Amino acid sequence: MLMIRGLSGGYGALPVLNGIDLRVEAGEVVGLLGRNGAGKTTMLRVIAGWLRATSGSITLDGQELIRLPAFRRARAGIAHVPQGRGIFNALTVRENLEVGTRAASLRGGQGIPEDVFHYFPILRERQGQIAGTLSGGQQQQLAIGRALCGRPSVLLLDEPSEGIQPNIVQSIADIIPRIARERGLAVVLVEQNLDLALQASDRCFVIEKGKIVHSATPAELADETILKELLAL
Amino acid sequence: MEFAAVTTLNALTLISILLLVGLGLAISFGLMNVTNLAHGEFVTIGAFTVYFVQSLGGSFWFGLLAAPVVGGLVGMVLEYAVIRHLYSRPMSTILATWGISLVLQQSLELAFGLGAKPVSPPVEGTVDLIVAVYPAYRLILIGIAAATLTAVILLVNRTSFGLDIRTVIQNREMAEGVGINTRRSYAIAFAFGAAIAGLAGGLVAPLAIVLPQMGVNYLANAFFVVIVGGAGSIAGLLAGSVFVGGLTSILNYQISPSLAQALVLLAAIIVVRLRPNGLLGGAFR
Ligand SMILES: Nc1ncnc2c1ncn2[C@@H]1O[C@H](COP(=O)(O)OP(=O)(O)OP(=O)(O)O)[C@@H](O)[C@H]1O
Ligand SMILES: [Mg+2]
Repeated sequence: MLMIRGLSGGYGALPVLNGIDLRVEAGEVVGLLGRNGAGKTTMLRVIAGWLRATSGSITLDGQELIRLPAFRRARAGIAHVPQGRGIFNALTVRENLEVGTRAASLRGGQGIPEDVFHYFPILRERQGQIAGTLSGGQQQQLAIGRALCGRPSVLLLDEPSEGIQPNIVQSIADIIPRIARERGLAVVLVEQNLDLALQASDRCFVIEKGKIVHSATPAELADETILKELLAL
Repeated sequence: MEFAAVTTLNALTLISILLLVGLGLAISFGLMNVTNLAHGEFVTIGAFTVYFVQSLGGSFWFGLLAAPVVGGLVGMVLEYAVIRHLYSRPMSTILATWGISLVLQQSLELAFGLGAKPVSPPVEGTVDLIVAVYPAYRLILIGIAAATLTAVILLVNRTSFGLDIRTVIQNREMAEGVGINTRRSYAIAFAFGAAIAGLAGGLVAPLAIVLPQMGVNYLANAFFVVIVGGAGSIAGLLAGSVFVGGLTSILNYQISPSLAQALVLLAAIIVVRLRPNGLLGGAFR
């Protein structure tokens, strides 16, 4: 279980997050919605340790992570698929997956977990291909697959549908909740694509000016008037 | 025929040394964006290590083994004490490493005194290669350099540590994100480059004038190599070494060494004007 309390932080002196509280259970997908610049990416980066938190606490199954550098959080079980995917373009698909296993190496996770290829069969076919030559959708699958190679307990996904052909968006929408259930992962899904977010999430939160201002079920948000009001579209 | 063969072998000797010195610089300057003006001192330290071992009665080969170890240790200390604090401040790095280079030179002078240090090669004599007669030690030097380069290529491309390094170089933030301790990877890569430069110094010691200031020359040439070849790939490093080493060797026959050096610099500037990313620039990324 990922537990976040009173989390603040941002870019140097400029605060972006203003006291985030969030709790995500194992096997659950939490959708995070909000307008451009609301602080969604910043929040994931602070949780992953890529940006410094100024205050608050982040615990994973009771272990406090707030003072750990990013690579130790990855080893503790936080996997981050950043906006833009962060693929190592000059490496092959297989090498990308292999470095993904580094996060698990101290926990005894050896090698690429077989189910990564079940979720994303294309990665098995393209193992020898240079990752930079994959299509956007294939790169997104690789980024998620690589995250799973670290055998994480938390998966932070930042706009997985960005710049991807519609048929792959649909398959990602199907696979995210499946992975969460089957692997007991706590998933935080940031998404501008509302259809995907509502379809994949168990609960949704709306973030505004670095604070969580609303929570709702996807069914409630499926009502367009409520959604428009909450997101002030 | 003989003249051409000897010139080629002389060029190969120089290319071998430049390659080894340039390798460390390609790692720090080319990949980590650290302008280390003390890199030449790793060469000096390697040469002095061989001298010191020989002066105690030890064999050249033992000295040659010790040279990369000492170079690597000094590199490790330098990275830990100074460079890691300055990764985001290029100008400070230049000034600090320049200062360190002077301190190292002075320390060697204090410890070992003025004047050139004699280092004798492990084998005397020549080898008859049919087309030319050539000093045996120089052939050994070329062989060791080629073997070292091969080992480095295998290390980078075939080992899990090599994969970590390639990952960190491409995207440091994401490398942390997959659980790699990138601080540690940087430190090891830096010390590794210093060790190879130390080996180069040990190899060149019997052929060079071993002085505390000897590193300066290698530093300048290694920068030419990395800039001309294009940072970031071993193929680029090879191209840069062949260009700088080959041109210097050919010119050295026709004109004085300092004029040759100036002409090589001029040629390097022209190459960089025409191909800003080097001869093979961008091959890695
Ligand atoms: N590198 C940066 N340096 C300083 N401020 C930044 C930086 N990146 C983002 N910001 C600011 O932080 C705030 C939150 O940005 P963030 O990227 O977290 O928003 P977001 O919710 O992910 O938006 P989007 O939907 O556009 O991805 C914005 O006001 C933005 O201008
Ligand atoms: Mg964002």
